[in-house]
Amino acid sequence: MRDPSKEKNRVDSWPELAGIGDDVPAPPGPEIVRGALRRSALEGGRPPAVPKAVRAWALLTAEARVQPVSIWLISALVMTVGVGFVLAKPYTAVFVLAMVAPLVAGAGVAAAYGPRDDRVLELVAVTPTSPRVILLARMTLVFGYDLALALVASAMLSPFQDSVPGPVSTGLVSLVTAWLGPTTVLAALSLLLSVCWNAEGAVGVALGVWGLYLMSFTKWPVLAGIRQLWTTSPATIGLALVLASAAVVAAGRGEPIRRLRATHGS
Amino acid sequence: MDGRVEDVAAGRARGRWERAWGRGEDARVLARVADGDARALGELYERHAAPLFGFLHRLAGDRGTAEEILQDTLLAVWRSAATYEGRSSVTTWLFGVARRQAHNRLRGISPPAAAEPYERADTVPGPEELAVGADRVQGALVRLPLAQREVVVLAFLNDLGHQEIAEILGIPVGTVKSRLHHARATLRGVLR
Repeated sequence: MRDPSKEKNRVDSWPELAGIGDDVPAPPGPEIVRGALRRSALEGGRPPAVPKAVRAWALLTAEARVQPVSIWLISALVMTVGVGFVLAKPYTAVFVLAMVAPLVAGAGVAAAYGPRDDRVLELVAVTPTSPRVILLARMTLVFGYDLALALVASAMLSPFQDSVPGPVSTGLVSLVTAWLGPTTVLAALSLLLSVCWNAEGAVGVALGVWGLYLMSFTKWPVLAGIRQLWTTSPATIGLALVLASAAVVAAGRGEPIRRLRATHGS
Repeated sequence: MDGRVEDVAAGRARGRWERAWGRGEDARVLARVADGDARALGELYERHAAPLFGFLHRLAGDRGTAEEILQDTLLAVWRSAATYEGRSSVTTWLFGVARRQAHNRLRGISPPAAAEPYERADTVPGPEELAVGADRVQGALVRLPLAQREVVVLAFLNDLGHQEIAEILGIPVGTVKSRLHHARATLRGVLR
């Protein structure tokens, strides 16, 4: 039985079409492709989708350009001061990094999303990129930068580390675990507050939590659980994830232009 | 004898594998076009330029119009590559796009008057040469209604089966056969 899907007519059974394949000119060269692409650019219309990786990279570089230079400079400066302190006073690396890295990340994240004088707020509000994606892009940049700073500082200071206040040092890993948990928690808390409230309030609360941890080394009465926050554990990383997720959800809700003097100076 | 049979079987298996590989490669190149890779559009064109242009040339009847439709086709592929869902082969999809672009350009262009191709006999060597060959076929094809012409070209120039033609044109296989039947009757009348 013949397969209907492969049924064909043979040209030799149609003498009327003898020579149909003869003298077919060669197709045009690649210039016709360039012509089509040129037309696409000139006529507009729906452009082809840009690869996700390219789009993400373009968004990150664009966001990096609009971030205030002070975010990068101040973060690097504070971290440099911390490193200088450890170099001047050896065996304080764990304590200093556990104090400096969360502070840098908490303040930097708040400044990156939600400042009152966001120069590009109007522009961001009218672009098709959602506030959530903008938020994630800025956090990737700023938090990634702060993490990189802390990692470099840890690598530099690992020969100078001590065992205070954590357990006995075991190298670079013990230095990183000293700051990673509190840094992510404080950054996530700061992010949530800057989205739901404002940047200044977020920095204030982050500083308050940071101060409470500092006070826990004094004889002043502070919350008993504050030192638990300054550990790298599933609980602290989980808490950071919950806070950051809440911030992302909150970023897509409500009126984007909710800040005082967001669109004019007076 | 046995060795020859084995060679033929091996050749067929290799042909099937190459076709399957080619289809997979086509889909990968088209996916890159959908991602905005302009170089992939060039690759896709290189892979399908000859059959597509042959189809459009026989459909349009002249090189200039065929090139215009081919560029329309490439533009449409560039813009709509992301809509390809893999339900048909890339070749079938490309012919479908080319055929729609050809309809956009050629719709409303009526076939030339009956005497026209024979008037061109003055510019070519002699009536005997005109009676056979590609010019004669092309002259006859342009007299077919577009719906019949595309079926004939796909079947006899591009060597596609009825099922593939039906997929490209979005019509039942029975309609492909009936259009071929009517086309043959028309061609016989034209070439009589």
